[in-house]
Formats: sequence, C-alpha cells, structure tokens
Amino acid sequence: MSVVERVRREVERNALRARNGIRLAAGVRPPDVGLTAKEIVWRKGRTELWRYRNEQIRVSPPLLIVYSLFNRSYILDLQPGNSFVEHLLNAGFDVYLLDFGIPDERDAGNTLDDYADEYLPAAVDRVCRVSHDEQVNLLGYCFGGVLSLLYVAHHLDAPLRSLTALTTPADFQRLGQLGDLLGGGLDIETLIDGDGNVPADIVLQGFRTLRPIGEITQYVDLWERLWSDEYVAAYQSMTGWATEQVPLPGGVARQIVDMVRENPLMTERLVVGGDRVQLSDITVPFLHVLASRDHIIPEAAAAPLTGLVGSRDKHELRLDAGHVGLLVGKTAAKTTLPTIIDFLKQRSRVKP
Amino acid sequence: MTDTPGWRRAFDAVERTVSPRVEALVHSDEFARMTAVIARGRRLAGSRANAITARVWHLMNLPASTDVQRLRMQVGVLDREIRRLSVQLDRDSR
Repeated sequence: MSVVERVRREVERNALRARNGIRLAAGVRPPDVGLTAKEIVWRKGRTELWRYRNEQIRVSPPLLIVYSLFNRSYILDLQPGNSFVEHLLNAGFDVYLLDFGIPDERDAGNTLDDYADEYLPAAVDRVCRVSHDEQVNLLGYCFGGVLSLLYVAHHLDAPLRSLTALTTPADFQRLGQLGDLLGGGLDIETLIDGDGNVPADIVLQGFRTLRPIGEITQYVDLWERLWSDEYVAAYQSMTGWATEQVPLPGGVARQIVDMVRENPLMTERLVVGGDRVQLSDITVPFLHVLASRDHIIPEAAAAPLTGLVGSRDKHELRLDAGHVGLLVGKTAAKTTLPTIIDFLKQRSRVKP
Repeated sequence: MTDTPGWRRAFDAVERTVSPRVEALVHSDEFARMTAVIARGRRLAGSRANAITARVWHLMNLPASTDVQRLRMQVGVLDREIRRLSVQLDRDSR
C-alpha cells in the first residue's frame, strides 16, 4: 500500500472514528441481544425454561442447555448471525435453555442441591413432556456444566442421551486467581450482602481482578478499531454482557468456597442431596470442550474432567480460544459448534 | 511493513511490561488480605450507619430499612420452602 493510500485510509478511518466516538459518548443504544424467538415452557421462582422456536426440527431427542449462575444467558444467543442457539436451531435441534434469572433474597438460601436435585430434574422432565420424547441431550455451560455433572452423578437413571460440558472446572484448586481469592484469606461472609447474596458488583470486581488492566486494553482496542461499525456493535454487546453480572446466592457462594478448599470433584468427596456421589459413575456419552486461553476457567482446572467421568464414550475438544471465544465469533462458528453438533447428531436420531 | 500503528506497538510494549507486575500485585496474599480488610470495613461502616438510622426511625415508631430487609429475608426463606415443596409435589405426582 502506497503512502498516499495509507494516508487516505487513515483520514477515512478518523472520520468514522469521530462519528462512532460521538455515538458512543452520546450513549447510543447497544445492539439488541437474545433475539431468537422463544417461549417460556416452565417457571419456578426466578428460574425459567425457554424453548426456542424451530419449524424444522430434524434431530431427536431435544437439547437442554443449562446456563451458569454467573452473568446473563444471552451470551448464547448474542446477535443474529453470531448466536450459538441459532446454529443449533439451523442444525435441526429442538433447543431448550434453563435460565436461573436474577437471584434476590428469596434465593439466598439456594444451594447446589437445589439446582442439581430440584430445578434440573424438573426441567428435564418438562422438556421430555413438551417435546414428547423419552430422552434429552444435556449441555452445561461453565458453572452450568458443574450443575449438570452434579445432577447426572446423583440421578444415574436420568433420561439422558448424552452430556456435554463446555469449559467446566473440575480441579477447583487450579482456578488461578479466583481460586486463590476464595480459598485463601477472603472470608465469604464479608462479601454477602443484607439480602443474603453476593452482590453483582462484588462478583464483577472478582472477575476484573483476573485481568487487572484488561479494561484499559479493551479501550485501546476500541480506539484502534473505532472506525468499524461491526466492531463497535460487537464491543458494545460483549462489554455489556461482561459487566452485566447477577448476584450469587449466598448458599451457593459458601459451597463454592468449600469446593475450592476441599476440591470434592477431584477427591471423590462430592455430596449431593446428602448422598456421596462420584463422577466415575456417570456412563452417558460425554463431551468436554475447553479453551486453552480461558482466563476464567483455566485449562489446568478444566482438563482433568474428562478423566474423572466414567463414560466409555467420552471425548475432549481443546481449542485455542478464550472463555467466550469458545461460543461466540469466528472460532466458535468454524470449530466448536460443528464439533458439538456432530457429537450430538451422532448420538441422536436425525430425520432425513 | 506491518499494518499495526506505532502508538499501538508502543502500548503493547508497555502493556507487556506492566501487565505481569500488576497481575503479580493483584494476585499476592497481601492484596487478598487488603481486599478482606476493605470488605470487612465496608460491612462494619454499613452496619453502623444502619444501626444509627434504625434508632432514629424506631424513635418515631417507624420500621427501618433493616427491619424491612429482615422481613424480606424471612419471606425469602418461606418462598424457598414453598418452591422446594411444589417441585417435590410435581415430582411425586408424576
């Protein structure tokens, strides 16, 4: 590229930067997220089970996605064209998502048992009834993967065709900074608010310590690519998601601290609903997808999971991606999503 | 010639130097202890302020925010019990 062309490009980009900068400063509305059509098919407290509309269901049994207890679930349906859910619908799946909503004081006493022994069994049952199917493909994202594992380990007769865990921790003592903070000198009781939950802003600060100058780098990246409308829209939706935390139920927060200290998944000292359970008892076909550049669930924390699960038909996919890049963006569309879809289709009935 | 502007290359160089140091500081035991002290301080200050305002409201025979909070917590506990019972009822009826 000649000097003249480069100067011309920079002038054009600076004009676009100025336009987009004014838009951002003026507080232009961020792009809408979670737009795929859906309906609520079950509700209990703040928890909702959504069924995404699909006129072209070609795969059976249905797929139930269990979202995490952190952030908002719209990351799985970010924007048209960049949506995990949309990919699954296009592949012919009957997709459900279990969203735990925004906890308040009514959820302060919730423990992992509430999710693994109450919400998940009820949701699986509802999916089977609504879809008139006898089984479900279960997929847990991040901490939703932990909840799914607890559910399956304690309900070995659950009507499951397969279990997929996305970036799910197993070794809680290798969670890095987050684990050091929780397992170290930090007293969780000092973080729990008057409503019995860890406030969303405290959860957000906890995640921010993982990359202390990450926010500055984000602004620099934004300035560099402020000329691109596409980048600005993606920046707005991604930063919106990353900063939109939800409170963490106090009961769960205390248990997570115990998990960091006692590491029950690794030491086979896992107790669900008063019963001792083992991941090695899980026998359903299993897939674990993890990311090598994940700063939230480091590779070292996620890597042991596949070895712990007892299934004979088990697979692991390690990708050169970050925590979110696993499901959002080009890497996801090219690698993660086709692998997950292929795994699920091979274990399902696919109508021609 | 690379497409990355000079100012960006300069920032990346500074970031590569500064980032590990800031991370080491934030990930140190001292930082964890300091965070715990600040959290405890915030909680203590909050509860002191609540106690003072509660006393004022109680003098006027009015409920304070802590009373409402306590009631909300009690309702929350009841709500959870009902929720669990209703899930168990659903399960038993199947």
